[in-house]
Amino acid sequence: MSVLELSDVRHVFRRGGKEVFAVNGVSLTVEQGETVAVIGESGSGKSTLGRIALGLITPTGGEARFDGAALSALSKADMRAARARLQVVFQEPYESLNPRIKVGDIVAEPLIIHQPGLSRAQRRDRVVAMLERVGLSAEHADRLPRHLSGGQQQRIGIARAIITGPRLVVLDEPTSSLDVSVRARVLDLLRDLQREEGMSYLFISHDLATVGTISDRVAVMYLGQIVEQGPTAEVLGNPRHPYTKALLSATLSAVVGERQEHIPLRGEIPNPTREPRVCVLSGRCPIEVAECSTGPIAARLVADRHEVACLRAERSDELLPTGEPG
Amino acid sequence: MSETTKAPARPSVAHSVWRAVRGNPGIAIGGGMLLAMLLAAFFAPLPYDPITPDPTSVQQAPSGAHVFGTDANGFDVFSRVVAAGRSDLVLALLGTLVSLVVGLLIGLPLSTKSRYSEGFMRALDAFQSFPLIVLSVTIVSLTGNAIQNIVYAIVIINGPRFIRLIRGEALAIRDGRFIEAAVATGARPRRIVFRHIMPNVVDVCLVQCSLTAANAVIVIAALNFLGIGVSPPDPTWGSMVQVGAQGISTGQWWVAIWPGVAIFVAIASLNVLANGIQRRMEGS
Repeated sequence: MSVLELSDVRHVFRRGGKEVFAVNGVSLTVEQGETVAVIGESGSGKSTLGRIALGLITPTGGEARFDGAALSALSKADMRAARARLQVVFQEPYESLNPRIKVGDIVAEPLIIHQPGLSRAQRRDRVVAMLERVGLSAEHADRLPRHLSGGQQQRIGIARAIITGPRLVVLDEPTSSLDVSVRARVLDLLRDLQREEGMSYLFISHDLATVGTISDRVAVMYLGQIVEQGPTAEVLGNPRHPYTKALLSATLSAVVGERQEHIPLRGEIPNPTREPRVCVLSGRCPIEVAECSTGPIAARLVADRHEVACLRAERSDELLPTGEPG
Repeated sequence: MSETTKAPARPSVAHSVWRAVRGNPGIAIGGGMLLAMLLAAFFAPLPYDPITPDPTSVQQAPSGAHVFGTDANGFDVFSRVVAAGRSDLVLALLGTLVSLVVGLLIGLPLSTKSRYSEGFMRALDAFQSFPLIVLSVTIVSLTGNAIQNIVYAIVIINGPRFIRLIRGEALAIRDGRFIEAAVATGARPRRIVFRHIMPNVVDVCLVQCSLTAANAVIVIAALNFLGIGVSPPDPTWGSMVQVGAQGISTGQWWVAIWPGVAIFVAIASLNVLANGIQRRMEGS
């Protein structure tokens, strides 16, 4: 049984009288002990997807199942109880910690909520042990969040997320606001914790470089749809969707000494105020053909476990400029 | 951690008070003056008994014997101005405290955008559009002259302000990422409100408390001026102004002026205090 199973999940916001089609039919599973990365630009719907997976938002369509149970069917009490096994680390480490609560109490809160039988001393021991596991120490417990560095604050966020031994942790860009050196160490910590605990990660990010080092599988999101998903090596090494290729070329051409063709997309990511009735990349795609605007493009397998939502996926290598040194 | 690292010695209370004073004179000056007025009202040795008139010395101008002069009944104005703090300041602070509690108890649960809470706020708008001081006077005069009615009057005027302020702050805090994190942790709504939102509205409540107390001093003086909540011969600033008001046109200015000055000083120190708290909030 998958830890997380999203099937044809859709979510439409209403903002100022306008409809925003944030997520449009996403199907994705996360298995036990697996890290699945969701990559996308801001506005791609990836954070909304994360909140749906957490049961913080009830999707307007489709179903999110956690540990076999449909989240929307859980009672409020059952949902709260499930949160011991379903946790989150947010992007902004400082904003996600209550500025008025001491670090030790922040880390203790999930225990207070989910294991009310613990004595004060037992809780204190668990908190100190947890602080040490994330690379902090008992003396940090009495400080306020603002007295810690960004990296330390994010370690607190991680400690809070995993102290109840969750099955799935949604990591919503957990490292993107951190310095590069700190980022690497936090990623190492996340990897170590996963190895010891066997939990699954849904890793939401806009940064392909980060994702390559931590995830087993990658799903690339654009305008509320997954345009390509598969094993990390396959998607990053042999991308098929023009959008994935463009995203990769934008990242890799920044690497010094690696001269690579930049794959151009026309314009910017549009506002998702209309329900997509054709290919999501229609209008920006360099290899678009007439068939692309006849209807939504369904994802299909192009290789083992490698799905792409593009009519011309097989030939995209020939059609698009490739990574030959220029 | 290096072994030589030691926690710095905790600074003494006196030292930290001094540092706070230097860093933020508003809190020290405003708070200090308020405290001085309170202490003087209760503990200062007064030259005359404030509630025993001396019929042999009425309407005397300020002099060495009576520094603020005496009124038409032969009361020593200075003694009464100082002693009036016992009722004026205490009632102002009590009324403020009750207003704060009302604001928290109603404002925090209403910090949602539900139809119910929006409806309540509109009702509050309607209520506040009344001239509340007139409403208070009416209520107090209808329900009798008891001293707790003064407190009700203050709460009628200031409770809605606290509700509005606390609800607004709490709404803004609710959008914060750490609230979402608490929800994702499985915290119940009550825990969210009291553990996560309330500590974050404390600062802004402190500022509002100082301003409310200043407002309460005025409300009390106004009610007392109208004779509401006064039990003669106990001194209050408002009733003293009323007693002295006739004398202004005939030259006995001191009877009304000194309690007026006391009201001014009390309000000024509360406003300075509010300013200082505001500064401290912005600094942190």
